[in-house]
Amino acid sequence: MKYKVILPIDVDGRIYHYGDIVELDLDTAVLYAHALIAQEEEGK
Amino acid sequence: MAGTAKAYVPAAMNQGPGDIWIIGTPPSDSAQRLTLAADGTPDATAHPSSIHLGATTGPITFNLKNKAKDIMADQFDAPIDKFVEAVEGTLEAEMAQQSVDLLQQAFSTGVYSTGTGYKQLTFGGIAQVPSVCVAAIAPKRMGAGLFLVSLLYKVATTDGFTVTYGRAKQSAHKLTFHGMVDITRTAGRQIGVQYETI
Repeated sequence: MKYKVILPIDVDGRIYHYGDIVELDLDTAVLYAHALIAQEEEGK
Repeated sequence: MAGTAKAYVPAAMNQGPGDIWIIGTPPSDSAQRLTLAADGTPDATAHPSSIHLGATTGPITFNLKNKAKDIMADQFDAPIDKFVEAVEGTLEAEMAQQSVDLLQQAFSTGVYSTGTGYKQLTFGGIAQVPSVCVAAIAPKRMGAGLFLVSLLYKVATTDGFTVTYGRAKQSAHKLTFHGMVDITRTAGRQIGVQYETI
């Protein structure tokens, strides 16, 4: 699932900045939920 | 001669607490307002990934100011017109909950990370200020299922936070969201909206 980063996050040593689109598994996304907005998947 | 009716409306006199929300998916330029669930929270389908910012120590304050400049003419001793120099919209409250993920909302250039046994916010080295959509939602004093909403489409937080450690006073931090213009929206509704459901 893809997410838009709305607050900077550091996932496993890599920093994702505001506006980045990042692909994360659900378990990881839950940990950073306050900083992410789920993106609709293409075709939906 | 007939008189003119007065407009005393107790239902329009507001009092009561509200909540602050980061709105995951802001309302569109044409929709303008939030889709609310029956309990007054952002609808999870229309506004996915919305975040509740927790309890406050006091009231939530929405300020909207028009900074208008006088247009003068030397021939007259008072302004002959006004011109809007700036519009300032802010939403502020003192936040009672200080988990690290919530502190990041007040210091949005910090970098959040988590792992086994910790949640942390590192800071320093990021210049780009994130912007989000924010709303204060409060139930109306009279009328179940009706709500007052202050909404800013694009805000940034730059004030940071204070954490105190002491016996006498609860630790809390002031959170101020500063409204910005969303230039993709139609003039007349580029900053926000104040509304009530009826």
